[in-house]
Amino acid sequence: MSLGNKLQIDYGLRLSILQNVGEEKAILLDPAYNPIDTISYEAGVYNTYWNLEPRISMRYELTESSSIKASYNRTAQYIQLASNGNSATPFDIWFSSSVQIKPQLADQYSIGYFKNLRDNTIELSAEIYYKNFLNAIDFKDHANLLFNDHLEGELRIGEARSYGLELMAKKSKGRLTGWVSYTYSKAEKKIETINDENWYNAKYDKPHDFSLVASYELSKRIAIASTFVYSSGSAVTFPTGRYDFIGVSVPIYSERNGARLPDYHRLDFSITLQGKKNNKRRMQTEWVLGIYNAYNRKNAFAINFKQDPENRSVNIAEKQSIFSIVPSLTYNAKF
Amino acid sequence: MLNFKTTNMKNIFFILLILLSFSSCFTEQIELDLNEENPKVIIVAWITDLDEPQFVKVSRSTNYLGSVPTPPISDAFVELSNDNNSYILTEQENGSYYLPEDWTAELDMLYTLTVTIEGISHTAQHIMRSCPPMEEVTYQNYTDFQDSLIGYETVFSFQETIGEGDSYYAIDYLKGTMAGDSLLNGGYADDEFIDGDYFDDVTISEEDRLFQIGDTAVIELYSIGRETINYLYDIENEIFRGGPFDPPPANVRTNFDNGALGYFIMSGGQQVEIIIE
Repeated sequence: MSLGNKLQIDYGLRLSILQNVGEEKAILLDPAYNPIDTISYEAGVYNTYWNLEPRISMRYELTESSSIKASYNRTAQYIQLASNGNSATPFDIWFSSSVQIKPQLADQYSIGYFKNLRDNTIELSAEIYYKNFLNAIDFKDHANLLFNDHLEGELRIGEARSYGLELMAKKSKGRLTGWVSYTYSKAEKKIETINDENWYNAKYDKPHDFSLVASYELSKRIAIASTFVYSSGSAVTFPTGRYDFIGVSVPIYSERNGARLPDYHRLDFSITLQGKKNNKRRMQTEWVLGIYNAYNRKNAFAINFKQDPENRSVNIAEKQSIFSIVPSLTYNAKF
Repeated sequence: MLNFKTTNMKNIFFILLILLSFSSCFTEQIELDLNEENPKVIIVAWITDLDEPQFVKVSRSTNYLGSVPTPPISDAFVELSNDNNSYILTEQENGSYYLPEDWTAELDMLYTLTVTIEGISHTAQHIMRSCPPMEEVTYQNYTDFQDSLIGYETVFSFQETIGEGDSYYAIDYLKGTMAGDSLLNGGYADDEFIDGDYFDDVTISEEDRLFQIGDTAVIELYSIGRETINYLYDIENEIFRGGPFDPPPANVRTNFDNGALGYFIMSGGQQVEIIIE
C-alpha cells in the first residue's frame, strides 16, 4: 500500500495451527515438573495450538537516495532447540510443541536508516532491532539426558530477548566490490530455576561481529579477494572456583553461559585466474588459489578442563581448535 | 543455472577434501583468567558411627585453575545436634572441627549441623541411617583379558534395608593408605527397583588398585540415603565432563542454606578387615 509517493506500507496476517495427533503416550507433569501421570491419547487430534501472526513494515523515502524502514512482526515457532552447551559435541535436540511445551512466540521490532551514495555505488545502512520471546526453553541444571525417554521433563520454560545494532556499507559496482559490516547484539534467556532466575547469555550470544569482504579485479582474467571476520567467542559456562570433597575437586560455576570462548578471527585470501575467454568453447574454466586462515589463528572450538596429569590436585584448561592455515587449489569448469 | 549449481557442488567437495587432508584437531593447554570473585563458604562433613575421629571441614572456595589450596576458616562455631543431644565441635587443626571423643551416634535420628561464621549461620540436616552388616566377606581372583591372575578383589554381600529411600556407599583400600579417602575409589548404589533385596557378591575393587598376597584389605559400607546419592551423582557428572550427553554445567547441589556449598552426611557405617592369603 502506498500513501503518497513517499510512504509505503506492507502488512499481512497469517494464521498458523499446530495439532498433536495420537496415538501417543504422554507423561503429565505437575508444576514442579515431577511426572504425576501417564496419559494415553487415542488416535486423532488431542491438542491444538493456533496463533495469529501479524506483520507490518513501512518504508519512508526521505530523499531520492535515503529512506527509513521500520517493521513489526509476530511469529510463532512450533519447534524449539535445546542444547546442553559447552562440550565439543553438544547434545542439541529439537522439541516439537506439545501439551507441556507451548509454541514459542516472538515479537520483533526494527527500525533502520538506509542511504545510497555515488549514484547507488555505495549502500549504507544502520538498523536496530528488539525481539522478545515467550515460552523459550532450556535444559535445567542437572538435566538427565542419557537413557531418558521423557526429555521434556528436563526442560524449563521462560522468556528470551535479543536486541542489537547492525551497521553495513556495501559497494557493489566497479573493480573493487565488497562490504564491511558490524553488529552489536545480545541474546539472553530468563528461565525458571536456571541461573537463579536471572537473565543469562543464550548459547548463541555473540556481542561483536565484524566482517570485511573485498574483491578486486586486477585484470579481466585475474581477481583477488579477501575476507576478514571477527566475532566474540560463544557464551559458555566455565568453573571459576572449586572445593575439595573426599579427594575430588568439585567445580563451582558463576553463572550459566557467563564466560566466553576466546574471540574468533580469521583472514582468508584467494586469487582467481580465469581461462582465456573464447565464445566458441563451451567450457569456461578458472583456477582459484586460496588460503584459509592466513595467519594460522587457532580459534577455540571448545575448552575442556581436566586434572593435570603431572599433579592431580591441579586443574588445567585445554583448548581444542580445528582448521589451521589451509591452502587450497580449486579448478572450476562451467559447461 | 543448473550448471552453475553443479560446479558449486564440485567446488565444495574439492575444498572439503583439501581441508580434511590438511587439518586435524589441535589441543593445547592454555591459561585462562577464571578467578573467583566471591569465594563461597564450603562445609564438608561426613560423620559416621565408626570408632574413629569425626570432624567437619570449613573453608572458602578457591580458584578453579591452579594449585592454591582452599583457605581454611578458623573461629567458626560448629554444632551438631539431634532431639536428644547437642555437641560443640572444637577446632584442632586449621579449619577442621572435631566432635568430642565421648560423643555417641544415635542411629535413625535426624541430625542438624550448624556452622556459624561471622554471624551468619549455615545449617543442614541429615538422618543417620543404620547400616546393615556385611556378610560373606571374602576375596577372589582378578584376571585380566588374557585370563592371567593379576591380583585379588574383595567381595561381600548384605541385606538391603526394607523400605525405599536407602543408598549405599562402599569402598575398599589397602590398610594404612589414604586410598579410602578418595571418592573416585568408592562405589554407590540406591535401592530403587531393588528395595529389600539381598545384595549378593558386591565388588568395588578396580584393576589399578587390586590386592596382593599378604595385603590387609579394609572394606567399608555406609548407608547414606537417597538424597545424598544424588549429590554424589552430581559430583560425578561434573568431574567427568566431556561426553555429548552431559547435563548443562551446574553447581552440585548442597544441603546447606544461606549460600554455603559442600555437603553434610550422617551415616551408619560398617568396617571389615580381611587378610589376603
